Amino acid sequence: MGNGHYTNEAYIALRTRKSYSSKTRKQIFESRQLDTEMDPRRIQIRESRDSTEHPESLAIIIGLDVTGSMGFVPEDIVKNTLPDLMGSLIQAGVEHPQVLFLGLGDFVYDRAPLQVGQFESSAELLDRWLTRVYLEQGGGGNNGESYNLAYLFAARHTSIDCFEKRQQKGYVFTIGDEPCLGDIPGDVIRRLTPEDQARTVSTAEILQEAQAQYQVYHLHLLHNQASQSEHRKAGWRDLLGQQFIEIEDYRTVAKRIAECVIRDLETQNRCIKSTDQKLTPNGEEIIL
Amino acid sequence: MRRSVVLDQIKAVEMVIDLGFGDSGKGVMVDYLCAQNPERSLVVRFSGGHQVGHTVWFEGKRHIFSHFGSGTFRGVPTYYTAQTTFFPPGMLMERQRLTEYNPVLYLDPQVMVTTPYDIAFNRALEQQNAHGSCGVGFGATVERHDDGVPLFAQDLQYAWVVQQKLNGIADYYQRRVSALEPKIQDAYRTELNGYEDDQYIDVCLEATQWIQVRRFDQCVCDVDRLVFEGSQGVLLDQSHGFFPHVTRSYTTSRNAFSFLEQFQVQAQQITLNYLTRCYQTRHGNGPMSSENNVVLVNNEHEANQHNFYQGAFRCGALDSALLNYALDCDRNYHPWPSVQNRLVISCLDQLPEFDIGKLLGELTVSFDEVMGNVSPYSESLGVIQSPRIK
Repeated sequence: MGNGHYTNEAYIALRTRKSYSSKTRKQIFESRQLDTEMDPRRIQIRESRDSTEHPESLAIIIGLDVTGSMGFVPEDIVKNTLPDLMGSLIQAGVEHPQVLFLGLGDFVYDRAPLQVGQFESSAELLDRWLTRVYLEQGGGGNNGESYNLAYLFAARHTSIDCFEKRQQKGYVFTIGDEPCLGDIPGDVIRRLTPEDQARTVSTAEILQEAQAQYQVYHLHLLHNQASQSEHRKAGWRDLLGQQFIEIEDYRTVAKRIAECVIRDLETQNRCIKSTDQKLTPNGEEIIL
Repeated sequence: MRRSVVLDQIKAVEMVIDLGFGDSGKGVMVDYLCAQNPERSLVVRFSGGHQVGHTVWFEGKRHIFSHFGSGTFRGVPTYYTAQTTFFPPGMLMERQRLTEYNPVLYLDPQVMVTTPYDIAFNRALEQQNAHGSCGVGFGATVERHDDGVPLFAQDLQYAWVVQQKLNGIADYYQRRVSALEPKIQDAYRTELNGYEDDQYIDVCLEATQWIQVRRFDQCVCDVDRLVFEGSQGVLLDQSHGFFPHVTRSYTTSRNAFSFLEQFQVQAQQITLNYLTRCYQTRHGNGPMSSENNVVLVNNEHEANQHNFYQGAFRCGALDSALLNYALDCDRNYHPWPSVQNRLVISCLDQLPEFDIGKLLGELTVSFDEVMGNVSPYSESLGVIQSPRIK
């Protein structure tokens, strides 16, 4: 029956002059669509593989909320922050990161609820996916986004050497400012992925499935008053505990992702670089 | 006066009316009717406006129609009558999803246009009512027109005219808001923070490229079939629903019949398609005559319709007395005895124990045909053969 999705999106776009700063209004309202190469329905498996150039690859999945409930933030993250991610990771000491970018939407409104890149080892290649992602302008308030689609994809549609060969878990980071929806209905899974026999899974179930191969984090952005409200955070802490992280300044997400990865690798007491140095949990170097 | 081609050609009229509180599958039924003869059909929206959400699945894709008729996937154009509302920016947003179908929209010159002021006022009030809903300004738009402060579809192409009318609309709401408590005044101001008229006017001008504003008798499209797409349900009608849980619209076939009379359409066959699920359903607040006494299966595609705009999705056993009441209400508006009646029961897959024969025995109308659906797709809509159908 009633549905205010398009009206709401348009209404927000009309009130957000920021969204007009770099684009003409006509562009905002012009037809865009999901890039077919990023369409999950066509993707059975995304692989993160070792190579001679990158003998110890580490799979890192970044799922960004691009619904536009965050206003101009996704665009800024895609254009200005994530391109530095590869640099930040390498600088922090992750030698062979392979980053897969996901654009996360809201399956209730299914314009492009899930967009999937490929595992890439260079900033240039990652950038190719970032520029292709279809960003929804406007957007608006419903009570959650489909961050759980990132868990679904990681759990069932990736194959990663770091875990399969070395039992080293990969990483999933979702970035957004809303609560997560409580489940993924079976028909949504059937619609968004090649699976045609899928039942409804709860977010907790699919998270557990993803955690078999990945460490899972959520970065919650505190960029406006709405995102700071307790109900937006509720649920995340129960779901992820320490791995729910609040971010004051969204421009620092690349740095924070790198920090999380390094800190986690540290606690596993693994050598990060194949050089003869280590970092303590406090970040001090230990020269061996 | 020379009558336009289109009016003399119309042979068949189908009306799709929901007997309950909405959500009975109007989109699917309209899609089904359009699929029978897409080249010769025209969908007519005659009640409600851009606040509706009619879901249609087509080739594995789902779309929730609000600014376009549910025949859009079949390439069928839509005509909006003067009793409906329209939000041009929302239409453009929705159109992005539908470009490949090249949807054609005809608007009566006096379709009521919604502005950001209507939405802001609507939402400011909602905050006070704490319904947690997110209005789209439908009720406010209709009320503003009733109060003599209109903005019509025919105005949209004239930027200066729209600007003058927006000034009047801003004043109108300023007056209304200043009579309310400070909290609402603040909420209203916050809603409009960052909004400027020229943005809206620009978008309206853009929208005029995608719509054709003309009276029905001046539409030249080669159709012989009208599919009237109803909105909400009879039990939400402003004269037959249960105040205050009503919509500011006539949701019976009332507007559709007065439209046929106004343009003297002499159709050979008029069929009323009365829709119901095999259980009662309601979004959000308001009375239901039974609740929580059915166990549904196979409804996972709806379990997650946490509809932020309207609240929880509630269900109860079907009540034949309430169906009879809705049928009584709708029969006030049928001047012709030659009307065909069709009952369409959806979601039969979700309630396996539902007894169609028993229901038909309890209804006061004898139906010429009974159809049923066992999925959200129009492909599975079909006629139900039953000895109980007279």
